Amino acid sequence: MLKTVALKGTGVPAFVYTLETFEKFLDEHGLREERMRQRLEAELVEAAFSDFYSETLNRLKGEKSWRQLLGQVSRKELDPETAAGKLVKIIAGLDAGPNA
Amino acid sequence: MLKGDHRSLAKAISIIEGGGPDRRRLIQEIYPRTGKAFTIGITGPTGTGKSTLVDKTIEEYRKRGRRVGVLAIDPSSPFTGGALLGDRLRMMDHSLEREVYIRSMASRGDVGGLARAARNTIRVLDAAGMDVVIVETVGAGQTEVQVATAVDATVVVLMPQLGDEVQAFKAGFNEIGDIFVVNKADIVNPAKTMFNIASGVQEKKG
Repeated sequence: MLKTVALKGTGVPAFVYTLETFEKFLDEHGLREERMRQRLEAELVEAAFSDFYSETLNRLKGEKSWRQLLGQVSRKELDPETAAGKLVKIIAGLDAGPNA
Repeated sequence: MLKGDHRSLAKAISIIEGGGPDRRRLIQEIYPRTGKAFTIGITGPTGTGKSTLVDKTIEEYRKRGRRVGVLAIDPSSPFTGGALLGDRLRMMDHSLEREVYIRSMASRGDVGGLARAARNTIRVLDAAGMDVVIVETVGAGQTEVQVATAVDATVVVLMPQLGDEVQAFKAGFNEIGDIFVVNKADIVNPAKTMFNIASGVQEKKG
């Protein structure tokens, strides 16, 4: 924990010294690599889900069963919870399609 | 771009922001050259003087001969249609230096998209040979936390006024900080703020 008055530059050299010391500490204890690995793990899952989401939305646009499902929910012939379960099956079916 | 040419860097970051296959190709190309820069996230509530601290930190790193890249994520970014903040403009003076590169990114838009663009922008600056990459964010929303922790060291900036640190800890800053800075320490005695921060961090450790 540090005190600074950045506008006057007070405490800034100590701040940068602390950052450099922390950088050295992370390197010496292999923590930088470990932190990077953890960040990558989260990033990969997040990016994959994001891509999957966008791709699925695009592919659903042309899907007749998806439009029928939406229609059933809006006409209250089907509740959203049951429809979500059916949608999972429709999405799973998309992967088996010609674009998979 | 790999030599740190400012115009090429700007173009590369625009490709990153644009997404799509061009982004993928660019990252494929530069990824093997990343991992050398020390990356720092600077975050905290509005008005704590983060931009001024970043400005002075750039100066200090330059004195030590290190090249610095800065990514400022802010809804009031001067490049993205927000207010022209004096602090941010002061920081921009450094962008005229060859060894410093500063880029703003708007925090509007979808959460995942911004975090992804920020991570890849850090990679671009790293591959371009920056020794230090600083990412400045405001607030403790999902995006800010994602971005401020996509780095080697996360710095939380607070100030000694109005129980700022208590509010900040309620917002979860104590969960993400490696280093805590009490800026504007000349306004009032920062002892109480520092005590509260220490207690908050201690609480986090359990």
